[in-house]
Amino acid sequence: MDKHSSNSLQEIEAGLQRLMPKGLSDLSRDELETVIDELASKSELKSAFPSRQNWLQVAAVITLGGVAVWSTMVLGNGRSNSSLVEAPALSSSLNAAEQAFEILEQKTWIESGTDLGMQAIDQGGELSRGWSYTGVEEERLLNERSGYEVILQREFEAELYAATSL
Amino acid sequence: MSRSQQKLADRWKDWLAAEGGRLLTYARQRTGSLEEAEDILQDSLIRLWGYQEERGYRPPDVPLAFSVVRFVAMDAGRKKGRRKKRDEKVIQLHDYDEHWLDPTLEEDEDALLLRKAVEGLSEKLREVITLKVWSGLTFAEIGTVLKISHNTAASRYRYALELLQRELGHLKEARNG
Repeated sequence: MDKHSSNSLQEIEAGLQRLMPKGLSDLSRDELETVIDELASKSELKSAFPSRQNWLQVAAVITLGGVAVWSTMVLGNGRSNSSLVEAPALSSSLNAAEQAFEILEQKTWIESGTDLGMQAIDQGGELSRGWSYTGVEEERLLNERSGYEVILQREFEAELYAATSL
Repeated sequence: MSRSQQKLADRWKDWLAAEGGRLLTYARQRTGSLEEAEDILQDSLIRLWGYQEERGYRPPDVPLAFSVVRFVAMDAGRKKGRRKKRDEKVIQLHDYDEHWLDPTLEEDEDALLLRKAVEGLSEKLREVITLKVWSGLTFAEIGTVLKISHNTAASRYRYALELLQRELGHLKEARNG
C-alpha cells in the first residue's frame, strides 16, 4: 500500500466525518423519554435474590446432591452399580424435598435506611414522609431426610411512607 | 412512579442521550426516512426494554441496541414490501425534505460530491460506513451487529473507502469537465 493512497483514504474518512448526520432532535428525545417513563412505571423491579420458592428448590438440589455423593462414596467400593443407592431424580423430588424442610428460625433485620423527606405519593401531589431501607430476611431450615441445615438469606429494598401527611 | 422506577428511567434517559443520536443515524441509513427511523428507534427501545428485564432492566450494551435496530428496520422493510435494490434506495434518499447526511454542507461542493458517492455504494458498504464513521462502533462491535468477523468488517470498510475515493475522483472529473 503506497503512502499516497493511504493518505487519500484518510482524507475520505475526514470528509465522511464532516458529513455527520443530525442527531436526535429535542422533540424526538422528549417522545422517547415519555416512552421510557411509561415503561419504567409499569415495570416490576425484582429483588436481586430469587424468591423464597426458588431458594427452597435450590436448597433441595444442594441437599439431595449431597446425599447422592455421600451414598456413592460409602456404598460404591466393591459393589456393583446395581447395588448403589441412587439419589431420587432431582426434578421429580423437588416438591417432595421442599415439603421436607422444617423452618427452625426466621428473622428479619434492617441494615440501612435513608430519610426521603416529604414525597408526593399520588398524582394529586399529596405529600407524605418517606423512608427507604435495605434489609435482610433469614431462614434457618432443616431438611428432615438428610439432617442438613440450610441458611437462606434474602436482601430486599423497600420504601415506607407515613399513613397520613405530616 | 416509585423512587426506584424513577432511578431506572433516569438511567435509560442518560443512555438515550449518549446513544440515541447514532442509533437514529443507523436507522435512517436503513430506511432513508426520518419519520420511519424515529418509529424504528421507538420500537427498538420497547423491545430492548423487554430484553433487559432479565438483567434488572439495566440499559443495553451498544452492539445489542444496534442489532435490534437492524432487526426492526429489516422487519419494517419487509412489512412494507420495499425491495432493497440499490437504485431504489438511492431514489428514496432524495424523496424526503431532509437529507440524512448533514444538509448544512449544501454550499460545500466536495462534501456534496462525497455524499453523492456514498449514496452510490451498495447497501452492505453504506451500512459499514454508517456504523464505523457516524455511529462510532469498533470493527468488533460491527462484526457483532452484522454477524460477520471483525476482519470482514474491516475489509469491507476499507473497500468502501477505496470505492468512494475512486468515485469521488470520477465525480470531480465530471464536474471540472
